[in-house]
Amino acid sequence: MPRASVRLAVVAVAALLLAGPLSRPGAEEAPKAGGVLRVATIGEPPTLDLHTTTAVIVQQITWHVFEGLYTYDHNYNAIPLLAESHTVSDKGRTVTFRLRHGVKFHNGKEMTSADVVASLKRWGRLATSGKQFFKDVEGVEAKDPYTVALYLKEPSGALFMGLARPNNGAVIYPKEVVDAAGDNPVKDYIGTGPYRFVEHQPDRHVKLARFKDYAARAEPADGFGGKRTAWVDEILFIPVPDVAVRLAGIETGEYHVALVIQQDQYDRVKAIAGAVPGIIKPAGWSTAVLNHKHGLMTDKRIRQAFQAALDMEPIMAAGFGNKAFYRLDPGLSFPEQPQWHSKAGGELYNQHNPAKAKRLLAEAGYAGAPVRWLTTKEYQYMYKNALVAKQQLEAAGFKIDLQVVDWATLVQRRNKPEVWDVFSTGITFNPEPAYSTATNCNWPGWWCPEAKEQWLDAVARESDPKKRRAMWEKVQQIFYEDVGRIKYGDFFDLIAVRKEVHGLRPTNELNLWNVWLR
Amino acid sequence: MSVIALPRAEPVAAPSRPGWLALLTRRKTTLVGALLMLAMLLLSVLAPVLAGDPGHMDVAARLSAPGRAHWLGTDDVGRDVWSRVVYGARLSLLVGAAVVALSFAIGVVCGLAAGYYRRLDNLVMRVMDGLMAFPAIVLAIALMAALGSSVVNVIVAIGVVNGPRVARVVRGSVLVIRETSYVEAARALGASDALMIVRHVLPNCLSPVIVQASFVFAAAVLTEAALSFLGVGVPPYVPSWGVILAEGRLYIQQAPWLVVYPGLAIMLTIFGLNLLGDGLRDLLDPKIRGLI
Amino acid sequence: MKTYVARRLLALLPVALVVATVAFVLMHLAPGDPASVIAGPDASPDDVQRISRQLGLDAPLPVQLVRWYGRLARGDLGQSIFLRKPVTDAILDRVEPTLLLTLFATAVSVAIGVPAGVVSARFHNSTTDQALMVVALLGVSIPNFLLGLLFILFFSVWLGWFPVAGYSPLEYGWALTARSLVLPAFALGLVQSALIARVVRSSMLDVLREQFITAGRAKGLAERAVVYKHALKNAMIPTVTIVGISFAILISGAVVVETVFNIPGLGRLIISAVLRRDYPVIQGVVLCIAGVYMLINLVVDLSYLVFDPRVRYE
Repeated sequence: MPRASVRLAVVAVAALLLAGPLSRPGAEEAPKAGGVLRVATIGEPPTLDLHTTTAVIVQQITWHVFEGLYTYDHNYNAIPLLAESHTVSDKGRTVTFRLRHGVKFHNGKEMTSADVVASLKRWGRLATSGKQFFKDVEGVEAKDPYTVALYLKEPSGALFMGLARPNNGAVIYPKEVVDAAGDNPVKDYIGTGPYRFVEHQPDRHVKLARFKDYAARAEPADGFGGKRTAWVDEILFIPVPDVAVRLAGIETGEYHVALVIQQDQYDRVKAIAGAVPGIIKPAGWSTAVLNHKHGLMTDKRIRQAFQAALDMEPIMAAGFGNKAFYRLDPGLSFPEQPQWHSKAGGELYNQHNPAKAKRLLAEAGYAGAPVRWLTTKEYQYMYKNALVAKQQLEAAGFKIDLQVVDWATLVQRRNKPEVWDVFSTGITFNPEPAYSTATNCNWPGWWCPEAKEQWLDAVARESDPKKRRAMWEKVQQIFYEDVGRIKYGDFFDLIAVRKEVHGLRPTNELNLWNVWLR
Repeated sequence: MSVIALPRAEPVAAPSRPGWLALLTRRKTTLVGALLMLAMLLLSVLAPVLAGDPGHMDVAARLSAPGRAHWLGTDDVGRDVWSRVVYGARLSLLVGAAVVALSFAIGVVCGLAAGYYRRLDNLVMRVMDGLMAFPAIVLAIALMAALGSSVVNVIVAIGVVNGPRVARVVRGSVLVIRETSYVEAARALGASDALMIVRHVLPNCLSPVIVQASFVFAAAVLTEAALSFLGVGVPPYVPSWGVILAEGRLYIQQAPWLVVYPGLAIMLTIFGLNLLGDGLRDLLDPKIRGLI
Repeated sequence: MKTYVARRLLALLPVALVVATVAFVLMHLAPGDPASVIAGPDASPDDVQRISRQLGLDAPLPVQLVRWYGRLARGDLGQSIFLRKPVTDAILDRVEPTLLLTLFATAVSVAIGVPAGVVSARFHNSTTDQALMVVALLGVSIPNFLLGLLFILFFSVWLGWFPVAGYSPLEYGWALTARSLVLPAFALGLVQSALIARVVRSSMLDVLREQFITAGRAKGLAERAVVYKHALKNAMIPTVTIVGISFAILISGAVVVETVFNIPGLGRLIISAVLRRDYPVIQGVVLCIAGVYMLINLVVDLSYLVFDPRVRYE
């Protein structure tokens, strides 16, 4: 029952068309331990406390240090990591986790149920994803040192996916670290992962080193789960905000991996003798978030005008350059997730109908008040998408006040509904729709129509895959009819990897265990 | 304290006025400078005629090489580089002129006050020294950090940075002029301070100031480009040579024209201003005429 | 002479005071209360107020100003908002590349500028002179960041001789450091060498007109001896001045060029601080560079004492 129920409770995500590991023919040689892996990242992590941030860079760094109860296999199904097994009882309202024995924290202490309970509670209190998850949680308690019980108000269809989610994930810290920090950022970065935290020198690097006493799982590696091996001695995450420099560093061999390379540099990466491009497909979709709480965009007709005016092809072409890196598609889920993907509401996507937009604006009595639009150049595609969209919208009669700020400022301002009408962002690939920021009511934009909320709740509770899909389709229909947000299109990310790096799978999450250097 | 000043502008008692046009054209280099600046002026005045909308994006034609449709090529979102460079000239000249006006307003007032009213001298010049103790670009960056990015703020920042430099030159001239016999004579005749300043002092310190103007203009164009290049100048959608360079940097391999043409525009403008400044100095400052 | 040095040092005080005040005012001109910047996006008004009190930002401005002088006198530049460490530490971490780059660039500019100026003066009004001066003027007209970009295009991208960007710290060996600094140092130094050449040339011309030179020529000394032995020696004073000043200018030039080559020095520090609204860091870097600038100017002024017997110290 335990293992089977994972399959039952979790919706099977069909095989994603992810590119295989970046290994070349003849690379079947045995993995080798040793070396320092140098990864050029997009910038400085704002914090290393994963409970408190959704920043991708923080997840990419810290999930080598911290682990959760569950993780994803290669098909993005939830599989146990720190958990050994679980049982579901009380009509799906009680879930009992059995923890693995002998899992050591980096401080030498064994992980027990006390740590799990303290960490899950903190995650439920502080994390964006945790708060959402804990809405339906009545309590969590330690039964014995290796058993934890989770009591739910309603049965959940997305429980294990929620616990497996890496971003802003439900990772386990030692209880004393949690107690010392409370709601403040944790001071000691101690986890159970294959790498331990060594040091963080802002603007220089975050250094991780192999954890010698790591308790690996026995199963063979599968996706992010199974046996994790720390082959390289150390990993350095080096903030290199300038993409030209990240790329140059790959050329010279200074960095082994360079993240977030602009897509129109694809040909250049291919031309580098010592490196190969890695395509992360799908990476996410690019979007303009509309403010439903305050200002112009609370008027549905103005939102509809916004939607009608846009022509996605030039917007996406400007943002991503190479055609191999973008795709026009109305789905909130990706075609790579056939069990979720739908074209519902698609007739309202990519209308490029300025005449209709003008008519709607006139109906709404729009008098040329500037639309305050926050965007950033730190993510070039966001700025370029916005720039082209601005041109199209102005042709349809909008007046756009584009405010280009740094990403940190954008994130800060988007929490204040009175200072913006639109902001640029990307929705990263998420295997479980119930947790998608694209439809989250509490997220900036505050898109909360009642019908959508009901269908979304239903998706979260239901466990029958067919029914869940139909419900999710309803949500997508409302997304277009009510103009929840503006989806421009899907995009894929490019990373550059030196040829001496073996076993690296290009994914958003970026796991560097099981990766070795020749 | 000594701070660099490109021009060694010495005060002039009574400027001679030989056929200045002849002098201006006597040295071919000055003429080249004047012609370059005239060309830039024409470009920026006629920008709407000569070029299209610098913000218009033809995304399908992004990063196309210089050719018939876009004769300086297009940038990474398909904007016409020629149009952007031409409108960039407009912005540069606007910033240059506004900075000259602002820094001269600051400089002439402070310089006159310090040079003419000796009691104010110490205070005013200490403040000016303090401002000049900051390297120009560093002070400008800090001011932009405080003011926020916009065209007006760029002008204010660069104007504040250059004001003290003008003040120093004006003060120097005033100090000499106020000791000359005709000013003393006028004072003996009971002329008021205001009259003295307007009628005698100001006109006589004009020539070093005019020489200084061309160098302040050049400094303003350079500083604006540098600030915008660094991302702390004008907002990124304003066509500025510095912005085009910063955006073109990433495409320096695929699209070198994104760096080469705005770069050439900056070079020619500064070169023209420097030639003109050198020529003006020779023309207006007889002491060093023929030396350089 | 001692009193002269003392007086010059004393004269620096009011300037330093103005500099410190300007830096203070800048911080307070900045949009947004620094406390709310420090407290972060989700802070409650109470949190902001608490931090404001902790930082002493609720005191009247004049009181804050006096405290600011006091902290400066103790060498305390405050705490970085983003880097979460003292500003002085942040600056010390970044000094190495900026200092090395500036020294390297000064060497380049002197090595090219002085000979060019001398040759130009020696062959005054010849074609060589005029060509050199036009080149020098052209050199003055190229912004250093543009030259840096063009260097990257030619020497790194097309020829592949140098790294496109980046800095190798001294701990990995000086040869790598030097290699990583060649292009930025030339981008900075070449522009400055044009300025040096112009100054050296005109001061040589001044000297060449002086009586002892005419006398030397009359005595039948070879022109070479006149120019290189006597004139050059006397033209050293303005040359030393310009070298000192060049060093000061190059520090601020480094601020810009570091961005082109992504060198993690003071320039990158201040630019990223501007983008992150890390006001204490901006303030600290600005003050630090202004301080160095002032000291160099003082040293240059004092060097007259050594080089020029004509300078009297009243």
